[in-house]
Amino acid sequence: MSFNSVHAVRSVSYSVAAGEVVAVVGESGSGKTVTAMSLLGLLPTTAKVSGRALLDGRDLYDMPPADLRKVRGGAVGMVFQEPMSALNPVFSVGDQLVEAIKAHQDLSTADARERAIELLDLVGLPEPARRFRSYPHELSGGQLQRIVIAMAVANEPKLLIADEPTTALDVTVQAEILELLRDLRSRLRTAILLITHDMGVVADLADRVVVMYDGQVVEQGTVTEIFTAPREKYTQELLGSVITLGARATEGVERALASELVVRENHLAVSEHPATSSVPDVPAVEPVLTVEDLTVVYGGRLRAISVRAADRVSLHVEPGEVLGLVGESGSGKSTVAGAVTGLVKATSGCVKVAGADIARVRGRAAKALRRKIGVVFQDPLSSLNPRTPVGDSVAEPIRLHKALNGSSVDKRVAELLESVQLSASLRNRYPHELSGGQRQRVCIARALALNPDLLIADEPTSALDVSVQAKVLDLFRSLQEEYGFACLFISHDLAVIEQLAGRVAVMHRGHVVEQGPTNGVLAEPLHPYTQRLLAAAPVADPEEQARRREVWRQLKV
Amino acid sequence: MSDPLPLGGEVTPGAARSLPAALWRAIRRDAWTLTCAIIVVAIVLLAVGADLWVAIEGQDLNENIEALGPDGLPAGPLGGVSADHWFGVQPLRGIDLFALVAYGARVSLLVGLGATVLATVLGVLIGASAGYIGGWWDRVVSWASDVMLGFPSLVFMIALGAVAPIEFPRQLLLIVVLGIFGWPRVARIVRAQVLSLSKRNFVSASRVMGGGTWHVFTRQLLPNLWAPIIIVSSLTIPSMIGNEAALSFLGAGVLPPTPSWGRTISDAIDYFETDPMYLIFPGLMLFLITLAFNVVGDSIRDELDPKSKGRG
Repeated sequence: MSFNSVHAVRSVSYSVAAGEVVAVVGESGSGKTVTAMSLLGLLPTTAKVSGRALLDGRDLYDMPPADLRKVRGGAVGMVFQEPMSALNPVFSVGDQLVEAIKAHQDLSTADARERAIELLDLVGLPEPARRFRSYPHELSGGQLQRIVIAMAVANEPKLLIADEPTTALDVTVQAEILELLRDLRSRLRTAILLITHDMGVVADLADRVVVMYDGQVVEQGTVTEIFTAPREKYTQELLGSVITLGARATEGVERALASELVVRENHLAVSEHPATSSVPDVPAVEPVLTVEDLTVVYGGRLRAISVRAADRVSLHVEPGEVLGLVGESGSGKSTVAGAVTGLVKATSGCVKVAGADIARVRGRAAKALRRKIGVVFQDPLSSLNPRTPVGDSVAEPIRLHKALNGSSVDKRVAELLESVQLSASLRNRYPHELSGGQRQRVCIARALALNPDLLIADEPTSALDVSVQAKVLDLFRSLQEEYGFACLFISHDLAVIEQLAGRVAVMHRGHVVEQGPTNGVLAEPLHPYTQRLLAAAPVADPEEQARRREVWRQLKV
Repeated sequence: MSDPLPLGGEVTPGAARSLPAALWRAIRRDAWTLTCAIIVVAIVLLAVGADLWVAIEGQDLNENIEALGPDGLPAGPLGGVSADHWFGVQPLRGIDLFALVAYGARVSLLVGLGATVLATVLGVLIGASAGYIGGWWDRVVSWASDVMLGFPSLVFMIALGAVAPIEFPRQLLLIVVLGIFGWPRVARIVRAQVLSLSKRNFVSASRVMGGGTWHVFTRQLLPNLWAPIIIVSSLTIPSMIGNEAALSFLGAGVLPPTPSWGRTISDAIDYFETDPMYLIFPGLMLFLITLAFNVVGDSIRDELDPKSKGRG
């Protein structure tokens, strides 16, 4: 298979048996999606495919377009990564499901409708008859992915191709979708080809694993073989770079189920679930950052519905301390970050950096305050100006605050680039000429340019590949030790927080539901939401994951 | 322990850093751009040195019945093209057509460029401020540009041409009127671009670092706005030249005896069957300048974009 004479994939072979889950893993650009797309003839016309792909003995690559159309959505179902874009926003989900059924089965509209409602029930949507008339924007990401799965299994396919089916979803939703896929596999005896980069998902669901790198299959074997005794160096590296929660998290949730939790000092949680208030802040000594009763309300003008994105949130960060702020999408963690950086206006409450209220300071004091804060955003590509060479981006804060001038700026930029392990010769490159990991290093260098007292890192690694993510986190930790800045580290991933943070605050729907030392929160999770979050995050170890799944099921009840 | 770079070999040249550098590279890279740049330069030279060229030709803007045949049409083939009259002569009055086209180029370019500069400056200032500041100013600007775009501008300009005092310099009037009707197009594009750029994190990053409105605008937004500004103004120049020609064609533009391509084309329509060359020369010039500005503008945009690999 090749695109414009670039060999995207070379001599790849694997097989999937009925009722089996085969996971194809690899980093972005490894060719895992290309291979799966080729099965359904969904590659761009510039692609040339050679080889054979047999489905029940029929070669999919040789098949005339008319027959291939019957296979698509018929014998082979497809689940995409982004459920919102996989569904048409102007038709109700029921109509789209009926269309998928009628494309392959000769049913009357009424029968197809009945079958669609059956399918919605099958994928575990509550009130299927009512959901039938819903439009995609009225449903949550998890519900949409269930509908996409319902469409994929509508015609009882022999093979289900799931391309990163849970990547766009939150961990707790991911656990539910994985449970659904497992259930469908055993009920319908469908073979599942799972494409993913998340070793935790693989450990949770797969029977066999195919590891791809640079367009080639590096290694394949059963899930236990791959995880316990990987033969190839690349597989070992891939597994080595996976950041997952330690076993104490599972034990913590188990203890919580057995009600054997011991509460330690400085560890607080709200009693009710879902929470209606935030926990108070634990006592501070000499905080760099204090957030007091921060409330942010969006909208609410005229008759619009107002959203409380953050509700009386109180936090603080001591000098040299890393505070992890964990939560899923919509939990309000990014709103807190926005309020701390001054990009979001607080409705009430205040944010103080080194004793100065960030919303009140003006003029020179405001500028001096800015020098003390560095920010690293989630998407490194969008946080660098595409028309500015990266060296100039790094120099921007220095020039803006006139911290240095003349050739000492260049020297400082070179120094900063080297401190984030980039060659100083990269300074004349444009952002698009760098890899994702390099870009994020540039962003970190820019954030550290003025030796800030406080660094705000808003999901700095979640847009990166697994192996790159591990390297960037290592770099981050060593920089933090070297420079000793205080850090508010925001992430949806508890495993990342476990690696870096000394203390953790867990957010859920605008409230801080639990706050305490990392060890305490992970080993003795007090709040039900924290427990669910801990149990839902998959770990890259099939046995450990089986144990966690059991715990997760018990929590659900 | 830095990541290996995806690029092999020597460092590839980045994007052009300035407008002249971009123009120079566009010309060197592509023969078609070079041709069009030469056409632009040639027509500009024709306009600037009109007196000189016409003197070299040995003609002027006066009527010259001797160049006409007995039927009032130009003597000789191809509308009277000869060594004396490079583009032939005007039927009935015998004015040298090269002189008409050369002096006409002066009017067309002056009005076209002047109106474009005015429209672009107004459009960038208004559009960028609306997109960046937002709020009531944005609503006022959006509303005003909608009104301007929906306004029957041609009718207004013709009416204004009819009532404007005869002493008022016509070319200045045209520049101002065309410029005022031209800014909404630029402003809309700039506003949309600023809105989408403002959501990008590098703008937030700059603000968090303590960058003020002016700093963010000049350092972060403007470099990303150059490409759309250049492409929209390079497309505005030919349309302004066309507008001027259209107004003059309709008799509401420059007044006789000032020559203008639009007025010449308007006259030539009457003789299309008997003397087609009369229409072809000014028409061809209008076509060439429009095409050439478009091609050059397009190439400059490609060169200013660090992501583009150039055409072909």
